[in-house]
Amino acid sequence: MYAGIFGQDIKGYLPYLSTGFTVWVPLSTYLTECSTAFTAVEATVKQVRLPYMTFIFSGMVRNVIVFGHHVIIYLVVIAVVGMELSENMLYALPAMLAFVLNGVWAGATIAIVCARFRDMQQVVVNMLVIMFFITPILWPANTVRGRMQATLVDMNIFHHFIDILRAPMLGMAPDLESWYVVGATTVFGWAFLIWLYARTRNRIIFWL
Amino acid sequence: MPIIDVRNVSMNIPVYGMHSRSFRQVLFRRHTGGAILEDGTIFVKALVDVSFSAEKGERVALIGHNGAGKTTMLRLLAGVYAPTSGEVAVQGRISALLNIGLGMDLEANGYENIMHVGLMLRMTADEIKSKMDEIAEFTELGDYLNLPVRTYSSGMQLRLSFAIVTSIKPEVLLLDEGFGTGDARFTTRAQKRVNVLIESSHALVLATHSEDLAKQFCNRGLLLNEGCAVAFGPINEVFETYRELVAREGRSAAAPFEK
Repeated sequence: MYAGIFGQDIKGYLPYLSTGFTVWVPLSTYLTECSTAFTAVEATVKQVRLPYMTFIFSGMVRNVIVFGHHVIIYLVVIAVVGMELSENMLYALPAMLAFVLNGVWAGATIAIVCARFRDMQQVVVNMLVIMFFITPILWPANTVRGRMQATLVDMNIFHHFIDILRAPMLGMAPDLESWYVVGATTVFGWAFLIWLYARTRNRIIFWL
Repeated sequence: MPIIDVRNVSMNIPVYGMHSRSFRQVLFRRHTGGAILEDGTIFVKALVDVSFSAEKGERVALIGHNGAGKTTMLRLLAGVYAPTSGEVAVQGRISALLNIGLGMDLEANGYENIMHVGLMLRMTADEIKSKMDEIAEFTELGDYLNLPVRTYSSGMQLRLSFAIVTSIKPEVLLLDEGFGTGDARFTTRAQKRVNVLIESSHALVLATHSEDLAKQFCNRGLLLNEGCAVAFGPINEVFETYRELVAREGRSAAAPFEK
């Protein structure tokens, strides 16, 4: 039905949609879980000294496994529509690494902020819902081409992240511009987390 | 080299009221320039310049009223808190039995939780596997261990987590008196198990109000009052100081009524 709304060919739209979901669902689940990552383990961290990053990594591993399960649906879809394999698909590997690297700083930042300010958890959840609708997942990015909304898409970090993984999964080369955005985000994100974690690591316990 | 070495430790604990827990409220406060609502971070001076040490084989009782700083000291020794100033050094493997509700995964079954909680307590996977039968037996939960923990009664959950946390053989044991344990029959068995743990550990720190308990297990005492170390030494002497302190406070508390 959405293929009709966006004037897309079902053969192109179905793989687009399923890869988009394959990437988005574990990503948003992970970030949502991070918002309660520290508050949920209060009893444990008040008794045992454990690095806080343990809980971020466990959420990460859990959602990488979820991603693995979603990949099965993706494989079924590309088999059904008869997509040809392409060497561009290898670009998915560095993209996954970028997801993991950025997931750590983003997840840890969310966990720290949500432990300090309890109302931020709702904010995170709602932001993710908004991002789902304004990021090209249900609809292809080219439907807004040439319009004002295209600027919004270009400024959307989530779009660039999803694109570097979705494009190779669809057999296309990823946009170089998206990789630049992802690279810059990785550097700034980690610098920010190191600053934040150094400032807060001894205080998180009092916020729980 | 003492096993536990606490030097000039002070601990300030910030108290976050509901107003400072909310990002919206903090943001609002910044915008009003802080003139009306001053930055309201309140600190509790939980410990003030406390020093003590314990050699191998010494068993220290932390004595004092509620809020004297006993639990804070245990958490400092466990490494949960970082001291505001001063140094805390503990040699060897620590096990803290402070509260029993240690993060269990309610969807996982009993055996999986033994592994899960065990790993969080920093046991190795092999170590847990070798203790699995012994832990399972102690819980007396039988086939329930194959069911998800969410189907357990609270008493059963308590048994399971107690069995796991007491399965570690620590070098340094930190024990809070309030470390509770289910029904009467289980309590007797639990008590025995804790006694065995205490005897096998190299050093013990026990927070308690009970003179009997302290004298049964400890040979040294540290008396805390409002975060300050009032006395540290042989257990009998420290309890005498404690009784004097209680008596003195009793008099001053009773004083208004005497007039």
